[in-house]
Amino acid sequence: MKLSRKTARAAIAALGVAALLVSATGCDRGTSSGSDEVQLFLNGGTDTPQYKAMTDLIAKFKEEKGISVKMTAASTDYEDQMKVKLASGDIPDIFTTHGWSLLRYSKFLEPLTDRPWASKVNPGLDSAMRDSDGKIYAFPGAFDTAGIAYNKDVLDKAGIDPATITTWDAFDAAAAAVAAKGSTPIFSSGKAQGPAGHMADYLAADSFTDAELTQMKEGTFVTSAYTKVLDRVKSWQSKGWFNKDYSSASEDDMARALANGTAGFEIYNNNILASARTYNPNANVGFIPLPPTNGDTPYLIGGEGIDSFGVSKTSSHKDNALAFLDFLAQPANAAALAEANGAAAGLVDVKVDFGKLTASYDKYVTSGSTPVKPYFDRVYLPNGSWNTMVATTDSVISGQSDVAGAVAQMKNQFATLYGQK
Amino acid sequence: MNLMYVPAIAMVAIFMLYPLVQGIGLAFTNWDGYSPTKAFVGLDNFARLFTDATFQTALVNTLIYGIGCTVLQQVLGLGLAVALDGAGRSKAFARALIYLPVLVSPVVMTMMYYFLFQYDRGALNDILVSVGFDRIAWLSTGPGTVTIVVLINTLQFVGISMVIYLAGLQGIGQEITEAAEVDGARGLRLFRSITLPLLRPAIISSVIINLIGGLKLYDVIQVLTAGGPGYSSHSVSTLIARSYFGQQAAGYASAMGVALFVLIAVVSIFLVARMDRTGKDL
Repeated sequence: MKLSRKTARAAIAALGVAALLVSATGCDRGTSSGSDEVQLFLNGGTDTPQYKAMTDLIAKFKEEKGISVKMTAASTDYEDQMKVKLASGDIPDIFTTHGWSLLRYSKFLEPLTDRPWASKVNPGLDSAMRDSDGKIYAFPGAFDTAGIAYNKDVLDKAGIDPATITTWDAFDAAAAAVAAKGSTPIFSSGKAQGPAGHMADYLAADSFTDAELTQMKEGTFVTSAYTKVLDRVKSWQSKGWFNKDYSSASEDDMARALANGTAGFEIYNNNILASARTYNPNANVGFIPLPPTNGDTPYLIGGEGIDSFGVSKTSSHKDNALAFLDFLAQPANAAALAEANGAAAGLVDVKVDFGKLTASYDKYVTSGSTPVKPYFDRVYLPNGSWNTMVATTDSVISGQSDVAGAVAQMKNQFATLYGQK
Repeated sequence: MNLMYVPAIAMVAIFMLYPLVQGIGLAFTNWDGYSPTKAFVGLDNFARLFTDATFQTALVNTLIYGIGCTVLQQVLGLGLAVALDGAGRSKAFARALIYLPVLVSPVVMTMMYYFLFQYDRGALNDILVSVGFDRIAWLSTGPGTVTIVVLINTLQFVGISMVIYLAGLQGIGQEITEAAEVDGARGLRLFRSITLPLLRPAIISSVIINLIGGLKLYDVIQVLTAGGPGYSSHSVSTLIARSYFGQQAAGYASAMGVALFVLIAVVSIFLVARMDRTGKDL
């Protein structure tokens, strides 16, 4: 049979379109419809301790219950990937909520208030994880507590006892002493796009009065209080206390500086202590609470840890997904998760081995003697403010902006995002 | 109608036109990038572009990246093409060497430069220290970072300009050069009056390719400083990503995208029109 030229062209064109359509069928939605596997999307790479701990727990769960959980690891852009999944309706059965179970993800999540472990959630997490009706939307795999990380050897050399740093004046005196000995008083990273935000977040937690916090919650940005936060950062910047490579330093550089004793302090989450120990297992590091700004008691920052998990309310494997969360909440399993995070457990009946950080945890966290304030942005800033908080603080540290300009930018972003609520 | 166009048209429609139309539509909403609902806000996002200092910084940087890289790439590319035009193993080796970075991912290339410019353990600073100077924080200021981004992008893609100019040089007939030489043109005079005018099509092709690449620059900035310090080295492309995902301002980010699209379209149409005219002149 001989095809005419026109017919042959039409056939090739049709084949081309068909090939295109067939290739599009490869773009599955990532959900497990048609399979019994529960899909879990983890905020962490395959080389993280969290991934390893979760892999072991998934295997144990399969052995005990016969239910398969398929875990997908994310890159450092977990939040971006998760937003794309939500926008496209490609929502995993279980996903990491990473501090956003209430503000960002609650409308996509199954309420978990009736689960057997829900009453054991550490009350310190209530402000960040429970809504006004007391509903909770994620299992807290870790209670992330943070203060000021330090290298004890550097402080010893400068003649500073970290336990005596209970005011900002004492902190400044300690930083000056560290600088005088040739070490970097405060090490941070602009490139990592996070540490500067953590610094502002931790300082802001005690820079607002109760009345000002109420104003923030009601949608009025309190310029004077936020100015106090960046004024303090600016004063450190003016004294040259930040590392000279602040803009190009990475998070690994932060861990290395703490591990090798080139930095005295780092105002960042406690994961940095665990990372420092990977560079130097004998690093003499610990943490202290943050000195108060408005109050008179040093405080820690605490909140929903990176390993907190919610179940999609549209999941087709909801029962199995909920069973997996119940399994994670068993004390031994919850302890394994928290230890992988180097953080306290999110449930009160779980005992965690903190290794060489036990002294700091015992003194400030386990004893319950130190008040824990929530991450400021998660409670008092509209969802989406974090990046601006990072960039504006970064601008002050790097000298790209003055305090007034940075605060004005925060105020502008606050108003824009609040208007979207 | 030739049906062989259908697969190509379908590809363009699905992967380019549909996202473009969707993006333009989003620019008129206040969508946060993931919620099921969005509200129409008219031209608010476009109005915000005129008052947003961050966007204006990114726009200026984008023009610096676009124009700066293009100018440097033309000067270097043309110089290299003239120097390496002709036969010979050493010239062929040098051409291959200069073109090689074009084949490497910009992310990998920038990571290598990052190791060069790092404060601690950076090769440049190690050299400085070894000869008795202090370390320099190369990436600590906005202008410094913008300059380094321009240099990295230029050095990576100068090979493209060189190849275009080599093709242009080899397209100039020997009889034209010889005729000019008979008329007394030599050296710089020959280059300025004969070679350069005949390279106009090559110049315009190279300028368009480099300019569009520079105006869309993303990966070098993202890997080097992620737009920092502060917002000082952002291009419009990196700011779009930051606004869309980080600040959950998908509508506003889309408006920035539309603005960038218009900028690139205007520049491209202008240059293509020039190229057409040049082609007719020749």
